[in-house]
Amino acid sequence: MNSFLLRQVARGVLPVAVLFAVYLLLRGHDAPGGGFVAGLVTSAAVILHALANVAPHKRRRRPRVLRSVWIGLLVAAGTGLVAVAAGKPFLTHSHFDIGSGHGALHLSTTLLFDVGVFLVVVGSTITALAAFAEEEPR
Amino acid sequence: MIALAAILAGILVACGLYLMLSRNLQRMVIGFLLLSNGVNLLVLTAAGLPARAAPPLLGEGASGSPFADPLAQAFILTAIVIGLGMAAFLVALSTRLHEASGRDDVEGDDET
Amino acid sequence: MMAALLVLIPVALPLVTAALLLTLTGRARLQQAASLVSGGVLLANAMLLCARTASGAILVLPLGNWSPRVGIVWVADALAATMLFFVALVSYTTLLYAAGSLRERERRYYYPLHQFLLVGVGGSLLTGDLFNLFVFFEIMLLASFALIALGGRARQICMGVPYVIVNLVGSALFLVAVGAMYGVAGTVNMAELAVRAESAGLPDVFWGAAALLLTVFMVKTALFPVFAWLPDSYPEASVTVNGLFAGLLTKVGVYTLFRTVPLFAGAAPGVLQPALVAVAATTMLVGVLGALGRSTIRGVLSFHIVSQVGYMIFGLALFTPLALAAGLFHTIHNMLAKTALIFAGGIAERIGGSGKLYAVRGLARTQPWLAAGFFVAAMSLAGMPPLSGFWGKWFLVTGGLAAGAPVATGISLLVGLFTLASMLKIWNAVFWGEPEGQRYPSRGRYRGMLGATLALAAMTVATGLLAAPIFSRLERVATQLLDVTPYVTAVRAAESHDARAEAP
Repeated sequence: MNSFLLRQVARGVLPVAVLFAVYLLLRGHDAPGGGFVAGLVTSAAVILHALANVAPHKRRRRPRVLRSVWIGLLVAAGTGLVAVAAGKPFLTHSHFDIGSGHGALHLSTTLLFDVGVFLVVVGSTITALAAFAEEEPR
Repeated sequence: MIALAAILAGILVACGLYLMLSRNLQRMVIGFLLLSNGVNLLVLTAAGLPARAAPPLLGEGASGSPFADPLAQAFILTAIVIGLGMAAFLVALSTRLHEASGRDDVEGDDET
Repeated sequence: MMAALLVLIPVALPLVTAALLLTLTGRARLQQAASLVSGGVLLANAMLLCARTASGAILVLPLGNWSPRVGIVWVADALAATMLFFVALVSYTTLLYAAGSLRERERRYYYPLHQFLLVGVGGSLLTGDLFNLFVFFEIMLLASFALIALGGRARQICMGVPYVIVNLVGSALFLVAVGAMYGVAGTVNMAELAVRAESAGLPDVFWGAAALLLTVFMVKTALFPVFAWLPDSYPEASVTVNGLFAGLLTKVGVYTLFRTVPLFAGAAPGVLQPALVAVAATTMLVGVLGALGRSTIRGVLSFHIVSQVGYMIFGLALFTPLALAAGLFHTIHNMLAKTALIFAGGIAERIGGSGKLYAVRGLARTQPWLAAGFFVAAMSLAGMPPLSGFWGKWFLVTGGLAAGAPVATGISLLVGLFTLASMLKIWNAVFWGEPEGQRYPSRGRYRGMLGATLALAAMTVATGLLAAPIFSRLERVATQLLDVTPYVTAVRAAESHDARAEAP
């Protein structure tokens, strides 16, 4: 798709979407959001960018994002297994507070789990959509 | 509200099933999407739709006001993700069939 | 800690293995080796689990430390452990068979998908609540969809579509049933549901949802009115996939029926038992008659799966410990014998270049070991002593007569004769006679495939010879299944065990 408007929009959307995805990822544990949505937002922006800027004949080579699927799977499974090593049931999460009082930063291992989910979603969605995008229109 | 949601779920499921019975793979994909949305709506309705309920986000100062059932929402969220995967697979299947045979419908076949 | 790990491994290990195998895409030999290592661990884990649960102990793992009432809980009792062991066994031999049997295109993605299938199967066997059963069923289905279409041939896809569509609709109904049950009973945990069902006072919607659930499990198990998705799609998949499905998929359906029906049976309406007996008897008959009409090796064998599932459910339907144990014994026997038969048929198909009956003849002369493996497994399926199939049928017949179901028992004996007839049909067409049509007869090429087939055939012999100890164990399993109380207490006890029931 060689359209000036689409290219400009895609260029503007990509950084905003990625920033928004990071926001969603970080607030995920206590408010609506999380790795899954963040992954979808990111991959949608990436696909839009690819559609606008990469010529169809260059899309033949599949993007090598499949590896993000297995890295993500291992990260997510790993956070669950850490709990097992600590003698707690699988997927038990721990919480920490860095600092104290009003400005304390609340962190938990669910964030790591969400990062794993994020990687799986980005990897699988982009792989799947790219597989369809490389199709020549008949 | 519940009656309305139930009727809507019924319509979605009926349309979805009708489309899924078609031989055309693209119709099947659309049918599947309708069906899974209908079913998700049904699960949400079955778990109860209290009037003016708040979303199940209970912060520090949670009050006694009615809120929607979070477990049912978790079910649906999971089901939506699974539906996404299935839909992607169906689309891939129809693309593959089109590549392999140039058609996108499943031809009737008798005994092998 | 140790117990938690034992329950965790059957699901977590295949998942991690699948992730690792994805790193090795394109290197099939390494993938197979890694799968075999992981499969070995699974096998050892299942044995340990069997040993731990033999005395009737039930291991419960509440994931994320949530209360079993709202959270995810995995439960391993003697039944789940026994099934896990035979699943691991079939999976391991399939991996051995796969190396020689898969074609270039299939080899690329087979091994990770195999692991994802194991995640689904392991989760379905272990989960303690209906919603997670749905989730793991979906994982299993998605992996199986991909496996069936692995070759990417147009015909394969066309024949696979009914399988996909029927199972998708089945899953949608599953979710409807789970949602309705949750709406009425306020929980989807099986132990809690059993308690609610006992206490009466549930509206009719609950039993409607339970009936819907039963129907869905019948679809997944391929029982009589809803089996039509199976016989056309299975033979179109590649041999390895066909064998794996025959050994695992419908058997997971059988397992869920064995798991859920006794939980609700105590309070269920009285029509349940006669209906199940009728369904089982019809399934046996229809399956075997359909198989007689097929004209390819794997076509006959795949249609037979339907008939054999009927036997297993017949055992369940009688509701006595003896019959239930017989049904379980038949399930185990069938997982081994059926996979062996399909593997043997696959080699014959490879040698003849076609799966049609009479395309290749006289294999008994040129491939004596293959013929021996097929013969043993076929006779076992037909119920010849002293093989495992004989004992499965013997226990079922004695159980059936003791439970007062002479008609269905008679049908099961009649179906045994038909089974023998269709096994002889394959034997006469493919193995008997003068060698003919053997286009690719090189023996060395099939060594790995033959080894896996013979190993499975040997296991059916072993199961037959060890029938007495195995059956006495299964009788204990059946008693535990019928008396729901220990299961319920074990799951409920998991709550008081951990102080933190609710998340912050």
